[in-house]
Amino acid sequence: MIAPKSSSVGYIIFKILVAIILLTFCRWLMAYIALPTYTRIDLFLYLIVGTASVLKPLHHLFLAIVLGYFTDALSGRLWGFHIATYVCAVALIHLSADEMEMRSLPYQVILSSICVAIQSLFIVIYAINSYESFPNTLEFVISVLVPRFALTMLGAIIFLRAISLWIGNAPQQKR
Amino acid sequence: MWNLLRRVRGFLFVLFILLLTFYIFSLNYKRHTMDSIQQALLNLTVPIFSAWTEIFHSFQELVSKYLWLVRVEEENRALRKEIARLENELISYREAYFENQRLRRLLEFRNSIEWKSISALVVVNDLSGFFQAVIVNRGKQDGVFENIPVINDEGVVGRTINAGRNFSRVMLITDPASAVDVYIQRNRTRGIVVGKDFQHCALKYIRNDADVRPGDLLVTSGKDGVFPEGIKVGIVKANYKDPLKMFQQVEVTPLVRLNHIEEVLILIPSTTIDRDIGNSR
Repeated sequence: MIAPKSSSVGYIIFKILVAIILLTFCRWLMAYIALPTYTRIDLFLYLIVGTASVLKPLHHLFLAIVLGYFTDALSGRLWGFHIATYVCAVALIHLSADEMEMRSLPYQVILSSICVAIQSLFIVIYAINSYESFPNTLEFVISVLVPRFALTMLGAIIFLRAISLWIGNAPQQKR
Repeated sequence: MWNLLRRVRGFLFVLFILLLTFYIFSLNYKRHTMDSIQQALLNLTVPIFSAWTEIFHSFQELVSKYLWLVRVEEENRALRKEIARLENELISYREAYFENQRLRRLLEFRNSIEWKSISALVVVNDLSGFFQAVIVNRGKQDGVFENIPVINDEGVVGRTINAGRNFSRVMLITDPASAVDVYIQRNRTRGIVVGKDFQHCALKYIRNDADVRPGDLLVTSGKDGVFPEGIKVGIVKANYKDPLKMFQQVEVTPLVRLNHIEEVLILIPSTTIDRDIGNSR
């Protein structure tokens, strides 16, 4: 495949598409080799955070909705779970865009962690309300959600760095 | 025209977001079928997932065929012995089967449902890991609809939760929303196997005075209106009795290795017949 010229919007789209395919592959692989739930970190969240500096808010929102819908469609349950998280991430990023440096890695790591915390809260509320047989919530939080949160923070350092190296060089769109 | 659109674009955007939100949340209540957007998305992405699965499967086969050949001879010998033992066992089971058929006829047992099985491939697993669901490559055009049992050679896998034209979603028995009516094979004690923590199951509604032991085999009772009778579900891992509670806590290990399912059988109820009653008249 030939990449479009680096000055075009197509160049950004091309880079984002490649990143989506690679991250989807990583997520598919995690599911295929049946890694435990707490290790299946949400890689698309990193992409949403990592692309904030190169996308206009509307385009960013569109990307969040598409990726969220895609993930929700594969789960087929709790529709809106991923879309809401990604849209929350987009909203947080662009609301604080004037005060914060979007390309700063610590900021991106903290943002990803906040989003995962929101996601965890969603899932706990859903599980408690929907599943009669759901075991001890505290046990679930400690055994699944806390390690997942920690792994998300660690993963953020690696994946956000990789994403910003891959996409960060792309020209920034005018706001 | 363009000026008008430009003026109301903010309103249109809000309207679009509202409609989108409404659509997304409505999907939580539209459980029986996949809509055209989901089907289009799956048609687009499943070939990619299938290709990845194929590549990994070929790689695994290559490893198991060529690199682990050393063990094959030893395994072959053990398997031959096992076949001989199973053949003997089969003869006795066949006897029991014919006896059972005779007794059924005597009792005018009503065999109400015949099951047609179709094989399906698991094409996508849930990426998040929070929902124990997989997508299989059989849909409405193959006769699949919601609440149809899905099994494999090891036992119960789950049941379909919704179906599109070419694909269906299957909820695994480890999902906390899943429930299967079962018997303990040893003593016919009845209970319900529910998903516990996305990986294990629990047997519910077993009274404290019921005789349950680790290692007991659980089979479907056929009374839940979804699964036929006699399919293996799991094995009792442990049980705890709390004198203050009415029911004991029973942990169950599913027999199917749900993390590694690639092929499944979908059991489609085909015809309702009163064959035995008809014969007896």
